[in-house]
Amino acid sequence: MKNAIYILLLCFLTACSNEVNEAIYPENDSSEIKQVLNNYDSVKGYSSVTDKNDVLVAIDIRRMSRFNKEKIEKKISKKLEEKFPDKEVLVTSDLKIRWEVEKIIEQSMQEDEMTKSIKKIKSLSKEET
Amino acid sequence: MEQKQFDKIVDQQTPKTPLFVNMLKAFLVGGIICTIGQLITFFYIRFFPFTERTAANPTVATMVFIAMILTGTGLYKKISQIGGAGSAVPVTGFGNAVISASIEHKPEGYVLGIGGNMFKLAGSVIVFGVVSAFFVALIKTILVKLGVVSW
Repeated sequence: MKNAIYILLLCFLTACSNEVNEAIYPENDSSEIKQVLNNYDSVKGYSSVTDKNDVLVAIDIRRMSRFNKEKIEKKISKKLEEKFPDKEVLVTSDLKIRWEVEKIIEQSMQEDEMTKSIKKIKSLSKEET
Repeated sequence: MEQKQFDKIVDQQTPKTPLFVNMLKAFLVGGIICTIGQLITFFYIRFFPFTERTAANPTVATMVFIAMILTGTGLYKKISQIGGAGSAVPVTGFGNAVISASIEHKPEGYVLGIGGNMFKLAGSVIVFGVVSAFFVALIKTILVKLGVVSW
């Protein structure tokens, strides 16, 4: 009985996954985003979508770095704004936005469809209540 | 018999509380409740247009609702017997406090019994939340108007 409890505790208290996910869509101007994001150790993976006016980057931050989540987001978005001065940059670690960006990449959407969903995602991230 | 002597006898007679075991139980029960809450958060993020920040509100509402139903069926009593503070500290304790008070006062009538006593325990939580939210919003509004911070 006691051993069972210890094993159960071990199962509850440990959880690890080392999958790294790096995806950029469309891939033609991927190198600049990659360069910026690879400088940060606390960013574990990222998925990014670019169209005419917007750059959307959804990052996966390491567990213990989550306390500085907003600072990291701000730093990266500042760096990216320097690289893309004519585009609107949104860097976020929000799970919903990551999933939505991954959905765009998975379906490999066309330009106008992508613009529509990027607009939707941006309005989601602005919501307060 | 003097007070000190009496206290000594009481100390001898009362059974020892298993402090560590109680804490472990509270930790496990509270942790399980919070895990369920996290799962509900993921559910709302996945299937509804909620972000991580906005999904907290419907999650709290759902957890309180589940706790209310469990209290009505008498299951929550058993959980809190094992979990103690672990089942009272998360928001589920709020739903439990509302429903158990209204069940207790049901024989006194619907208006004076249930209506009058429903928020006897949990009312202070609501009042505290509303009043503190009001003052925080007031301070923030003044600061924004003065130009110190932005929304």
